[in-house]
Amino acid sequence: MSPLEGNLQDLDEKSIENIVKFVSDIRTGKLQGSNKIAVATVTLLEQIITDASNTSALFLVNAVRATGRRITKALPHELIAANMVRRVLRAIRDEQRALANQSSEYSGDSLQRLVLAAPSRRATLPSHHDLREPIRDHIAELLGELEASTSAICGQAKEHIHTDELILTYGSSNLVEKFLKASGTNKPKLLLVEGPQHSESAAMATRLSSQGVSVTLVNGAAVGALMPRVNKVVIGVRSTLAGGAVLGEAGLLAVTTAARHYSVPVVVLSPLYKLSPLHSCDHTHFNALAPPYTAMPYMSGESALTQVYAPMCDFVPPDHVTLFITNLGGSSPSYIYRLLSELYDPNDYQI
Amino acid sequence: MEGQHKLFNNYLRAHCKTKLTASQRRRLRRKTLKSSKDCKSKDTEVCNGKKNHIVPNGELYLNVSPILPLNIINSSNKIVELNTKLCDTLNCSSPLTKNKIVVSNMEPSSEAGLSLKSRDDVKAAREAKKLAKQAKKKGTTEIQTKSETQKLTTQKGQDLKNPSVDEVDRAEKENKEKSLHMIKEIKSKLSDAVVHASSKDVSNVTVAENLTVNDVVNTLKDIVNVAKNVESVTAIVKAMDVQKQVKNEVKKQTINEKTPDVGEKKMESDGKSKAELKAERRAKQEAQRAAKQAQQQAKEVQQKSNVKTEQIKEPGKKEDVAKEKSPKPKLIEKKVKSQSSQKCNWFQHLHTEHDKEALRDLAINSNLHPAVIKLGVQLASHVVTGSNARCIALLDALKKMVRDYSLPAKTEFARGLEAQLAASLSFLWRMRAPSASQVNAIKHFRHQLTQLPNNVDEFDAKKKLQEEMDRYIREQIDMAGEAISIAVRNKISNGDNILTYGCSSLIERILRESHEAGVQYRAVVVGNRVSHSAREMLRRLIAAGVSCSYVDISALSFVMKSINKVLLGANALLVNGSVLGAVGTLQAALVARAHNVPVLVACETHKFSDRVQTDAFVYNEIGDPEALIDKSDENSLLKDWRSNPNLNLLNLTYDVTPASLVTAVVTELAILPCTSAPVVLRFKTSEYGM
Repeated sequence: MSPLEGNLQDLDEKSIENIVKFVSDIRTGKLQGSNKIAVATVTLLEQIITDASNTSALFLVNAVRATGRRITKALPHELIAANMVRRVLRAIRDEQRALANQSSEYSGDSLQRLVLAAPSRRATLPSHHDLREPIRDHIAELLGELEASTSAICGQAKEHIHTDELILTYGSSNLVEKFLKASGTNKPKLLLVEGPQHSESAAMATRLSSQGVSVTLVNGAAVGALMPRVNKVVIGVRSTLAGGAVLGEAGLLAVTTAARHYSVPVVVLSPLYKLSPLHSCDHTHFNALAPPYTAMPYMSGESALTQVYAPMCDFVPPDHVTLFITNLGGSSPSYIYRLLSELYDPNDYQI
Repeated sequence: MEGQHKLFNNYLRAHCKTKLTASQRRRLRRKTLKSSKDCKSKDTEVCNGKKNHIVPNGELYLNVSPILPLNIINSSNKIVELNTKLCDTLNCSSPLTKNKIVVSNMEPSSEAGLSLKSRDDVKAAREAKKLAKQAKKKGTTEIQTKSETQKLTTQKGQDLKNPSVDEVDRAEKENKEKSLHMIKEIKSKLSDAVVHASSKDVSNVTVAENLTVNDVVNTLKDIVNVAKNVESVTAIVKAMDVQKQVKNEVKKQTINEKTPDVGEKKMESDGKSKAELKAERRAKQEAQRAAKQAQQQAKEVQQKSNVKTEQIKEPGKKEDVAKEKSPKPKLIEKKVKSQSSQKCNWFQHLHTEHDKEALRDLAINSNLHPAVIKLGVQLASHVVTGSNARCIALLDALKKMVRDYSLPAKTEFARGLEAQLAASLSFLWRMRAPSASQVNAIKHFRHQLTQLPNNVDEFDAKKKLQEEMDRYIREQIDMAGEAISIAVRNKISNGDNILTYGCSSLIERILRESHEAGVQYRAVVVGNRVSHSAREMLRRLIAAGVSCSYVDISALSFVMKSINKVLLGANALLVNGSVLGAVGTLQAALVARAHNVPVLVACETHKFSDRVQTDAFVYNEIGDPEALIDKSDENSLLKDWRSNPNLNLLNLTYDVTPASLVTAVVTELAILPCTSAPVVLRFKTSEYGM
């Protein structure tokens, strides 16, 4: 069932309405935070599955995929939403396979078998079976995982942060904030480098400092100067790409470059729902430009005659990352493909 | 008792950290050396090669004193332990040690009159420590020195204790002078006695048996033993001039006023008949009593005067108390600091008061030239920034200062001006630490000043200096800039994207002139949110008609792919090839290196510094932390960051780019690798003598 196979039936009115509402919520900023978006996507898909007129696996897969296409078209940067669509698709496939009494041969496959696997799955999809109930169980499981992912990552904090360490982090990230708080008695000192959204960094600094973490806020320009002192760089990312590359806040690449230059380990906190089976090799993929006033106010005289760029994302190649910390534990960038193959069905890599 | 008290004070103070000026240290060293020499000669004189043997009487005194400290030192090198030991021995109130201590105590007293500061104690103590090590090597002779230096410290400590009490000070000084005088007398006397005694070596045997080095220490606790020994010795000898005796007695009495034990020993040193001895002892006792009384009286007087002065100066007393307690609060302060500066204690050494505070205690009614004061304010308030601008402004102010300088009568021009210059510079550097360019300019200026002939006419000298400064600005800054501009222009080709970071007058000039020369390129100016220098640069470039792009430093890697060359300015080029630049320069160089973009640093040779730095921590300037707070945001969360002990804002001024990240440095001499910095410096030294 490769993506280009077969015509996807149109979704019904109600589902389209739900999708539009979901997209507009994200666009207007009502829905923020990767975890919330992930949960919202899964609930949307659950709704669509529940509302589906036909309960056959083929129909459900097509409906979810159609939803996914619409979402990715509307929100090309929300890789997490697409990830969730893939996760649900995988759930449907698993259920169907279980029903057909097949061994779920894709879970735990080697790379070789992944490559060599024959894409003749379609014939084995029997219709006329209400798959919704077991799928709902899967979805509930998924939601539970989403909920627990933060605490699962934070629970590993003490394994990675030792006493009195100087941690550098870039921009603002809820996950990093909780991770540092969870390091508790180890009392790391935090060097918070403000990203392009400096007010959020400031807010994070005040929150953390009020909870007893010693925070030093610096501008992004000082990263190079300060890096020799830093023990570890701990960052949150927008998304982790296949192959272990990372999409992060603009300016992250400069930070990891400095870290690499000074051989400071870079630890990326990436819950599983941020793992995307997409490849990229340069910064123009999955990137967007923010309004230029974030870099230079419109009111300044020089802005009239200048081109001002303010990119939103930075692409960090896998060799800049020392370690990923996911819900399941730490893993090196080269192992990300394995996690991906466990999470998603290779047929769903492209929605 | 007094000596003991002093010692104790010294012991207490030995821990407070202080500074000793170089001259003071030198003086101290000279002093100690001298005294050690004295000691040596004395020793040889006395012992005639039998160091550890106690010869009767006078010799006993002289010999014991160097030995005793030796023993102590052997047991431990540490000054503290030495102190305690000395204290112990004092507690035993042995006449021998006391004698010695008193003697050594008095020797440096003339120096102690210098009203040294409390800090000096520790330095002196350290000095003593060093000497102790030396002494260990050299042997007994130098130990006296040590105890002397130590005494010196105690003396100083004593002085310190009541620094404001003038009367007591004066009294003490008088005392010291007196005692010094006495000591001299004693010494001469003793040497006489030694000569006398050495002729009667016969008696040595018994004493020597009883009094080995260890024995001396033991017997210190018991006067009687010593006395008995001496008695027996005296009984055997029984040959002594009555006249000498009398003399000794007289001396003893005078000494006893201050130091009774010296007299006692002294007297015993001469052999006598039993009757004579009895009479002598009686006289001795009387003298002791008298001495005690005198001491008590003196103490009372001291106390009274203390009370008086205390009454007079109530606030002064408080000050004294505060000073005496100063070591404790210091410790507490440190603790507090280390707690609160969980914050960012690795920049503690850079945390000088922020510039604004420097402005607060501006000396308005000073002798400084108004142009200098103006420059100081400009530097502190960052009105004048940038290496070149600061250098030019400094030379300009100095020019005005030289112009208006009026030579005081009977002063050499160069010396008078040098004094004025030193005062001005110390003021300026307090306002803001000098940049390499300023340091070099001052070096040059000073060099010119020393080159002036001695009998130079004031007018001529001023003219010469002003011309020299003009020449420096013209050659070192202006013409050098032009040469660099031409060199870089040749490296920019049509269609290039040139990235530059921050604001540099030199880079601006290069870009402007290249544009005027008709090179078609695009300038990408990178700045950061905190410092607005890049915006200033952008403004100037746009005014010159250069087509520009602007990105924040966070977008550095975004634009770097399309950049052909990175052109960076520098505040200084250090002698190890590192570039001291505005903070963010390193970041730009790093990203450029990651993208294999050549990095050119433009830097005139007058910015080459002979300092060495490998990271940005050893030397840096902390900028205004408030700059990190978004001014446009009314309710910024950072506003009350100072009240939050866990939150710290850090705004660095410089960073250091290692030579490995820089492709080449463009100077007016040539386009060089960074590592050629020492060569350039050497060349300049030979060329300009700076």
